[in-house]
Amino acid sequence: MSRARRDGARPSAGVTGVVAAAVLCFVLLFATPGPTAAQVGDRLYVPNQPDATVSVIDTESRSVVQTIDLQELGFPPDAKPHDVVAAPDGSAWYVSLIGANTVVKFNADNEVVGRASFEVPGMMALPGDGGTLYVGRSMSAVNPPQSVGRIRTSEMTAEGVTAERVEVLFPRPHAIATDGEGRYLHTASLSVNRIAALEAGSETPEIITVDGPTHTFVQFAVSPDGRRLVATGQTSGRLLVFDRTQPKRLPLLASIEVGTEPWHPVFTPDGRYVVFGNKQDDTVTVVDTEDWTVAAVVEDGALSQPHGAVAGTDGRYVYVSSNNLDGAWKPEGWSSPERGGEASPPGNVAVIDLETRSVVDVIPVGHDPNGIGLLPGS
Amino acid sequence: MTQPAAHVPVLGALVLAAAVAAGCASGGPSPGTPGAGQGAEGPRWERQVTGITVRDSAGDRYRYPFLGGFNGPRPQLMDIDGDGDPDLFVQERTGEVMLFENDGSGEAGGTPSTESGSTSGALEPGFTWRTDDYRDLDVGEWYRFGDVDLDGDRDLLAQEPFSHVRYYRNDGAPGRPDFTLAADTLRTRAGEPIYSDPQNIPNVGNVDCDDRQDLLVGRLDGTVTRFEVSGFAGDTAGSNAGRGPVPRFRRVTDRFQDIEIVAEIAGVRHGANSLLVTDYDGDGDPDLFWGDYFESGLLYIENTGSCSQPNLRSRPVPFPPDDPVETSGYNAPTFGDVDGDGDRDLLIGVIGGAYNPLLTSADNLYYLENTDSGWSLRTRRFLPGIDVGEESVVAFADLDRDGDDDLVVANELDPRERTTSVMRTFENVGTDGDPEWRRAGSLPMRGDYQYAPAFGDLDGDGDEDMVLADWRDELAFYRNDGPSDGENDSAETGGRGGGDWDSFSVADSTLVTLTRGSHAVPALGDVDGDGDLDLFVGESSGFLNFYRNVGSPTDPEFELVSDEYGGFNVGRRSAPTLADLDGDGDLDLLVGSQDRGIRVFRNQGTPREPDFVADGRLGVATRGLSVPVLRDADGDGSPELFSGSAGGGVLYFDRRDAP
Repeated sequence: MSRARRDGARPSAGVTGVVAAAVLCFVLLFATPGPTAAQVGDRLYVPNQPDATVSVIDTESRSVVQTIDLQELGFPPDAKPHDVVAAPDGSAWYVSLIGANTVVKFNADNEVVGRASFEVPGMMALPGDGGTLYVGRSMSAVNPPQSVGRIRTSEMTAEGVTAERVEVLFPRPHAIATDGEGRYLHTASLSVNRIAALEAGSETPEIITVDGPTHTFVQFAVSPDGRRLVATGQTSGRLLVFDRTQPKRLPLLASIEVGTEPWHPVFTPDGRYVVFGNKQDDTVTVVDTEDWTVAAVVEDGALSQPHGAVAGTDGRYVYVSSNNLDGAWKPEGWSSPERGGEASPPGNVAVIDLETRSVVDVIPVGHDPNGIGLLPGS
Repeated sequence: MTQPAAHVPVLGALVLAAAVAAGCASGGPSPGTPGAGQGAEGPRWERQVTGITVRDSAGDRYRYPFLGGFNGPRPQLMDIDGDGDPDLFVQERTGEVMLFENDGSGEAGGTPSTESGSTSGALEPGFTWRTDDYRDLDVGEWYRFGDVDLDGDRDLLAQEPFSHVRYYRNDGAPGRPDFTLAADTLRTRAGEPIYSDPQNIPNVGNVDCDDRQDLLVGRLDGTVTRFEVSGFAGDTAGSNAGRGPVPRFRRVTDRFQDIEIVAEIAGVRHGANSLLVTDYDGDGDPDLFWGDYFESGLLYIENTGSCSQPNLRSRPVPFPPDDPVETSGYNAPTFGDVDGDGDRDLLIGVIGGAYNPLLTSADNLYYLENTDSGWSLRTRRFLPGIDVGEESVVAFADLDRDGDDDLVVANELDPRERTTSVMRTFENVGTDGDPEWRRAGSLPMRGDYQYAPAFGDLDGDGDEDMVLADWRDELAFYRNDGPSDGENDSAETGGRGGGDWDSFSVADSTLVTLTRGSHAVPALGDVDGDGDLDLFVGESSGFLNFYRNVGSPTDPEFELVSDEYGGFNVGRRSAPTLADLDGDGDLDLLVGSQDRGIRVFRNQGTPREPDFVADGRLGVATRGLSVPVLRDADGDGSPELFSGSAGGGVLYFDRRDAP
């Protein structure tokens, strides 16, 4: 399978052409080399849920430079890696394993250095100092506990710890976000229009009820200045904008109709745009935060059930994972089972250029990639 | 209410055995170290689902007053004892299935009552509770009985953590089940484990009427994967070795009958579902029912083909077609002849989906009777009992000054009022020795989550004041101001139990402030023998906070002694109560917890100098979030144990002394 960059940008040293890129991509996608060389560009961590792997993407070369096989690290085949967050200082990253009831801590060399047990972990949030990791619940339980997890990252050891549970008083807390300073955590329910605001160190959240139709809050994002909180509503098809300067009240500033099933939102580093995929529409929406209007809707054949999103530190590119569970997107060179290939095509990470508002590159990863984490480049 | 000093001798006079016995009913004890002295000669606590009459606000008797409440029940009707009528299994908690035996006494009567818009009180379901944990079968998040090997009896499929299918083979016979764990993980012929998302409850059926059963697994995207038994083989190695024949499956299709459930609101990912295969219309071929996280009703897909040539491509329709049921979503159906009239009725467990599960935290087991004129929703609480929502806290106090204990049950968030916890009251219309509680109204406090009261005379005026905790870190002191002027009235009381109930006013809104934690649970008792009530507070951390009353019997002032009292920690959600458990004249300490049962801390000191020593775990099977209270409800001189629970009801354990 191969791919071609669409923006004409030169790949990083050592990969000088499409063919070479394809070969390298193939080798790196299906091999599991050891730790990579010193990092230069941003590094993306993409959990491939049914494969129990995590693809590591170098944003300079826009290629998979390592595939971490969680089974080889002792986790079960159905570990179901779901979301990744990375410490802003680049020292560590964390992946939630729904099927193993575990959150795993890796160092920058992609070695397991700690773990914490937590029932059906889902989305995660990490403040700027990387000291406390917050974990929401995935859908993968009939009736999961009405609480989120709080883990002191320095206490995560290879032997494992148990995440502290913080009650949130509503079912299925899924969306979760904190600000850079970690002063407030916000988490919201997939079942009811409620948001919990938890002050750092507190045990007692404020509960905020959001009017309107059932939203089914998927995920939050906090603006770089910490003043705004946005939420995607799976069933309402809306992006909700809250005033985070009042973190315990969260006055609703705007409710924007977007695509069908908006998923993980992300702010660009300058705070100018919010970007997220619309899972049922196979599109990516770009919202201008100056007036909270839809600035662009990106369409591309590579966008196939877009799921996770993360913004590069350069501010120009946003990376969006596509589940591609229906196989609508097929990478070049992919062959069907009849031709001796895989039963289903993999997912991908699309590189979206915010200047052209188009997909400029597509990086095949494993199957059903979910929430992306970004380790900043050095 | 914990006992003030003046009452201690009453309890002290009780001749309690030296310890607390292990075991309870057939549910079995909580795991862990049993308390000291739980030997054969000691007392034991026996789970009672009935035993004390409790009535709803209309005066109708709860048949299952102390079941403990349901939040997301998953029912299945099947004849387990071979007597020709369907028994009822219900899963509420992970890893456990409750059994209610059909005793044939069910009647179809029932009229709408004022309680929760249901017919609960008047209905007398003909099912007798047998156990909370049927045969200790570890079923994970879901279970399904089905005759997988077509030998005439039902086997059991269950969730194997986290996404596989466990197989218990029934090696008995109809009416004499004998379940053997035959496979931790069912597999295909190629040895691949069959994957099923834990939130999707699959079903066994024979969809093409051949001699091989099918396993249908709903997927998040609304499609159905069909597996078919292709043979049986015993494992010769591994954890399943020597367990006898286990079915192997052929993966027939990932798009069975091209079924693709599209939710009523856009969106099918992040879903959860519950499948049921049954010949609903009696035409000899299996139909399909689908409960979905994003579906407030129940979807019915009629098989328009034949037994050997199924056609389930018809459009899913809400069920019943004439008057579709609507809940908070994620509905788990089961059919069976509930009322013994020869036709199949419908029970629906409401797990709670995208439509605010709080609304169904108490009304969540729907019974639709199959009548000559169609389907009739008879009740939303098929197994009626005390159930105030979720995470109940129990307290006793004589709030109407008639000399007996009334019952107060608080919830985390009230399913009717929706934005606040409410303390529901049950008036004792019997006597202290022969109580009968009738749902009255509620205490007037509003505005916070998870109220947890403790009653005691804090100002020495002879009535019961209240320390009130909630989910925050501050506890308030409410002074009892005597009979109210209807403050306890509400629409549901019809005025009864209103005007002569005690009223309260805030004497101190911050009686104490916790150093950490939430979901506080207070307990009052004079543990230093100085004549005033001291205060223990449990909270989310699992530690105990102890405040000594350094004021007086008429003017309390609480001083923090320790926020990690004794170093005791019960894991999470500590919930203390004080009582003289061993009859030695001093107050012992019992502490409930989120999932570690009830811990005993025996007072080996004196009434003036307590010395609480950890003494194991009370041998009772609590059902999550235990909040114990000891009370001599039946006047036999020894206390019974009551407890709040995660399900929002009340658990009752009767003390049985060894002969």
